[in-house]
Amino acid sequence: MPKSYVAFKWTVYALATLLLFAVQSLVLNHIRVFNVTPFLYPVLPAVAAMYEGPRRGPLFALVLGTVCDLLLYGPFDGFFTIAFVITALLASKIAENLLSPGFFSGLFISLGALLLTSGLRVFIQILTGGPHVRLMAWTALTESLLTLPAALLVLPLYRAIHKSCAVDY
Amino acid sequence: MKRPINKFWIILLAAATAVAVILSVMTYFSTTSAVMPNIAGIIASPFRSASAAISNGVGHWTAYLTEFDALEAENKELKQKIAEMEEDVRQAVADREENARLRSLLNLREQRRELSFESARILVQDASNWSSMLTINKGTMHDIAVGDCVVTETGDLIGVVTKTGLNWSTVRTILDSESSIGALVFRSGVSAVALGDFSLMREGRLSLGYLGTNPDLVSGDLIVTSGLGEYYPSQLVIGYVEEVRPGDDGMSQIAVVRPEVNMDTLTQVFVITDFDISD
Repeated sequence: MPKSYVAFKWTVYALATLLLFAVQSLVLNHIRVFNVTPFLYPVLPAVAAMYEGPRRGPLFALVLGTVCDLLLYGPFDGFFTIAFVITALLASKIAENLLSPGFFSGLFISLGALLLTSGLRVFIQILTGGPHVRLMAWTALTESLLTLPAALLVLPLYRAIHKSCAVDY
Repeated sequence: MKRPINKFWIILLAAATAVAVILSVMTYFSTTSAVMPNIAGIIASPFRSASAAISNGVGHWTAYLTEFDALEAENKELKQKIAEMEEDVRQAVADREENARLRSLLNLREQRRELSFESARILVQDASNWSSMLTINKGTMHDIAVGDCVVTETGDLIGVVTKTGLNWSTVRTILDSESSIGALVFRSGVSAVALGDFSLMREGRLSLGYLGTNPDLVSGDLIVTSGLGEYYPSQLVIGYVEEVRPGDDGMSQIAVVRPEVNMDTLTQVFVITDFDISD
């Protein structure tokens, strides 16, 4: 595959991701259910990795995680980079060996990504001996379930990019 | 051979002259408009109106055709002026709000001469479910350092700077579950610690811990920073006690504190870059 073509494809991915960042900040940040706000970002590396496989997917997750670490507040610096790469690796492996990429497998992988990222936060809380672990676990579950409908935006968008840019050379 | 001026013409000219003379004489001797012109005016009035209406219509139409470009240019210019005026109004509103805040800050400066302030604007407000942080548009180049307190124009504590860059800083608000600040019950002088609490954070509240078993504390008590350890300035308003309840251990008590500041509506904050220790 020519380098220019690869660059074009990932530029389109970047633009779509930028659009989804806008959705998060302009729409989802203003939604509150049970005092919980949807958090779309973990879905992005998971879905990208499901379509793009175990090499390109985690690379995308690495970049995305770094961007999120620069822009968002995690429990520690680099949290999103680590969480997203793990998410992408698992998502790509599941898509490769267990479930073929598709709508329902995408939803399943998205839910897994959301639970993994928020679960890691709870795990860190347990490690540091912080209080309210049960409440945090409840928040993690609520956040994941609340964000899942928003994954319906990510799946067709990334699928369209993956399909339209999938040319055999 | 025909005469160049015939009899009919002479009669006609004579009649016209007579009418003119009669009208002139009538006008001269009348205090208002003469009878004939008046009657003529009354009869002609509807025709004049119709004529004027048509004339105006034609005039507009002609103007539309001939002055369209000029009107379009004028319209564009007026739109531009309206946009500029709207921008001025918006700026005026923002300036008025900022002015009010700075006036309040001026009062605070006079009251708290030992504090040095740096004004800053909020760039990002964390909307996640896990923390309560802010990013402001001032950093090390404005003498802001980690540990500086951030307050409103009236001296209500917002949080503490946790990270700084050249022209940005991250502020952990007093609501964040990792926040911990030495506090004092203003009425009784009881020392305590204002603690961010994950369960209270989403309700916009924080807790007051390390109160002991029988604290002198009632609902509505004002909580301020203690300044103990000389790490933060004293007497910055944290909030008011909302309720007192048993702590997790069942032995001690904690208070739920409602901060004086509403984090969601903040746009401008003031960083205390330096303070003198007053005995």
